[in-house]
Amino acid sequence: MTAVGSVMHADTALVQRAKANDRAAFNEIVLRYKDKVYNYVYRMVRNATDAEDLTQETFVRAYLSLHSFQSRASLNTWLFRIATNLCIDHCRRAKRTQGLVTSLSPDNEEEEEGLQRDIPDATFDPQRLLLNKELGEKLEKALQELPEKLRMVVLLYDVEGLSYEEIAAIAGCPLGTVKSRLFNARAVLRRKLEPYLNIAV
Amino acid sequence: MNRPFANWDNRDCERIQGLLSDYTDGTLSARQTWEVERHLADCRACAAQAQQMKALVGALRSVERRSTPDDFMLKLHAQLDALGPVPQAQRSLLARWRDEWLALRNVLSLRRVSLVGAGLAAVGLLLFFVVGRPTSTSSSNTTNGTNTAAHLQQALERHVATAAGDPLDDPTAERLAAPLSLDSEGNGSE
Repeated sequence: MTAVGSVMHADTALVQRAKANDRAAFNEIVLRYKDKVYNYVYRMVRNATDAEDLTQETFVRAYLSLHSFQSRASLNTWLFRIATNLCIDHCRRAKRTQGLVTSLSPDNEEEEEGLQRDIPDATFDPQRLLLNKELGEKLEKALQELPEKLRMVVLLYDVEGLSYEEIAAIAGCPLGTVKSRLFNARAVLRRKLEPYLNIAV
Repeated sequence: MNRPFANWDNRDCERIQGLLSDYTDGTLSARQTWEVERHLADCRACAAQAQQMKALVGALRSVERRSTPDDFMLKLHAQLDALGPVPQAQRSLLARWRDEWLALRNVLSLRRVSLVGAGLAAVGLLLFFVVGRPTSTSSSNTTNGTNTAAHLQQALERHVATAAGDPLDDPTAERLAAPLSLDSEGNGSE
């Protein structure tokens, strides 16, 4: 059995027990996945308090809808899908509340790419860039500035290590769209971080 | 050979740059990989982009991993406790039927019996009781058909006896005790 198959097999047994109201089994599921989900949600909503609340909500919803989870599916994908939907709803509410206009319209795929909206970093001083730590900090900032749909794909693919197929299932979009968004997200990040990436190399 | 001023068409660079993301992931075909590497060997600008892409993906894959706060599990379980058990009404009828069938199958130790097989077994039981029991009542009766029917009967009786003390709700006990006439809701009728 492959490593992935082994994980799914173990998850299936836990899910079956959790469906039978075995709280210890559900607890084990949470322990296995809470940090992964939190890590993703934190970078999606860019706020620790909101990230904790949304991660909690992810598992509450999972608890309430375990009966609808198909064992053949991946628990990892299912949880990330719940988390993603919560993050999208949260971001939309935040935009409406704060009247933000910096994020591009989610209905316009071309604008969403952000390729023409990069704002040069006026504080950049190439002489100070010597450490990968600084690249990490700049990367976090650049990730926060990505449009939501591009950020989602690069976080799920590059940071969380999900496959194109899993991301397509989570985002509810075709595989080609996932690949396109990943390409565009990386292109934006590369352009923003170019000086730091040259030093990192 | 490194020819920084090689005469690459801008369209070539544009095409190769469009492949750099997949090239970094190692998901290009062998032919495309060869095309990219041939171009990168001669085009300094594209080679720089390729290196930057590699550094970017490396940085993304090694970002700091965040963890939930220390009281996360405590807070979560407080929420779940407040919810109580998931109300049955929230579960679909199909889900309840499926779970009840799985529970019944486990009790009868007929793990590989499909729904069709279970139906056939039920019909077999019915015939057994309608046609009549075998004349010999000793345990030395060794015919396959009567052994199977006797086994099923004993299993049913054991299940009915044990289900009464099961802390989980087991409505299947009532159905098993009734003759084999089930409506679409799975309720038996006399």
